[in-house]
Amino acid sequence: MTDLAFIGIARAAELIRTKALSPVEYTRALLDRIGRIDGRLHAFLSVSADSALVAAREAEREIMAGTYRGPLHGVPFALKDIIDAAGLPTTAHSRLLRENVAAEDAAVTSRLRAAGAVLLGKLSTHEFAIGGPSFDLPWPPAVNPWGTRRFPGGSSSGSGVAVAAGMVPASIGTDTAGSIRNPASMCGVTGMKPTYGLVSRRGVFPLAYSLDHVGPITRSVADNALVLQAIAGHDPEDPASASVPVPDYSADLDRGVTGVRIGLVRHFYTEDAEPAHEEQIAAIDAAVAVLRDLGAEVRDVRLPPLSDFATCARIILTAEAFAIHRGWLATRADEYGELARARILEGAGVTAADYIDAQRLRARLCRLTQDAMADVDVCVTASSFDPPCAIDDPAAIARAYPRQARQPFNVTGQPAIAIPCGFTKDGLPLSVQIVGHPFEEATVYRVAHAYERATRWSDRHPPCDA
Amino acid sequence: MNDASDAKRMASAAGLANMDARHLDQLVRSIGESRARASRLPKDLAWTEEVAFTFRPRVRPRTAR
Repeated sequence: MTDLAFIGIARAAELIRTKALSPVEYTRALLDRIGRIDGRLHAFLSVSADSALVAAREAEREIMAGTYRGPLHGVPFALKDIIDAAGLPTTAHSRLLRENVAAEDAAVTSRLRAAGAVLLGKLSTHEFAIGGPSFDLPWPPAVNPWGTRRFPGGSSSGSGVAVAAGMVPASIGTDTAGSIRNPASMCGVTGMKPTYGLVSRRGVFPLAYSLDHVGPITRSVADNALVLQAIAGHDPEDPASASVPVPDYSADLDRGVTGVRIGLVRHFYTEDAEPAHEEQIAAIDAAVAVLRDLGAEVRDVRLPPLSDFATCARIILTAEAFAIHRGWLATRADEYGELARARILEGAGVTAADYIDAQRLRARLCRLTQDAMADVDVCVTASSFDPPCAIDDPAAIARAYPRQARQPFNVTGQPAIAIPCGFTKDGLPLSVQIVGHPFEEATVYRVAHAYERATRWSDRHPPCDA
Repeated sequence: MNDASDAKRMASAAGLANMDARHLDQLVRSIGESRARASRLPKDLAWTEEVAFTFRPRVRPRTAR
């Protein structure tokens, strides 16, 4: 049982392909696990056991008949509950959408189904991907499997928790200001925010149109590459979708990092704000030493100050979010949780000129970042500045919210992955972020995979069976 | 700025005419935060510096006559 809970996609796929593992057996094992442990973790808002077993039986029938669709065939996954799956609720973890049932699959859902993956259910999020963790909503917030009184990150909180706790090998999250990479960092798993436009946003409830990204959370880098492979690609129905070739993200994973040029963006987490937690800084230093030992060339890189990115991102995010929610705020303000309402209302104070200037600042920040990264293949920096704080301490949550270096890459749209890079002496996850040039996810995966193989941090799992 | 009529004016300007007193307080605080943030935008943006994303008409395939 434990083996199936923490088996990786690549290994599961090999067993399924060779008919040594039944997709039905795999799906049942994970459904049983969800039933056993999710009452404490609250990762799932809804579990679609019946339809999952139907999909698993269909996968099994196809594979037994000789039709194997690829590495996700018969592999379970789950969706952040702002992503549509036909016939299932999409609540956005909000009272406002409690009765909402999706008519169609989101693009990402239909791509995963086409790859043969088996949807187990919908995952907890911060309300509308902005307002959490909140205790004034119809469902409790997800908690961290490394310590159930700890914050699991957000807004794709359930997506991080479900993967870390072995309830699914992969989940899909969204990232507008760091919401894939934050739960990945807090839960000790791997979260990729791909390049803006690489993965379709069609059928995903928007938070901020020009900053929203969809991407995978998994336990390993190799698994992450397999999921991105299935969901990346042009969608003419998403106005921001990029029409670019999708390379084989797994092809270069084992090439190592000899000669790869890495820029260390240290000022983000040591100078631009109150410095990151000392154990977090030490873990990044150690990660850089590992990469150097593996043959990478590491040099310091200076990007614009973190505060410039934060100003730019928050003005754009709140203005776009307010435009989306204004109608409901005018008539149903009471139905929002306090946190979501307060954060979205910030957009009411953004003037048209402020918004345009923020988008002009964004162009400048993109150009300066591109110039600064001209001589490197990837950058390495912090994701979160601190280990997970207490989930029921609003002051600690408020302090943690801006203490991150993820937002810059929502502004620039570059691919960025958060991967585990150790644990505090109290046993809480630490993480490092690797950032690539636009549409160079393969290079990001290559560096992340080399580091992961050298350190094996992702082999550790939280003690949620206790 | 913090009295009730100012708050109602701000809400009305934002298209939020029916907010109760608690939500109006929240609106005033939230708008205060966003105004403070907007004051941190750079003052040296040149007119040549355009927005990051602009509208582009897309070519759609058409059926033949």
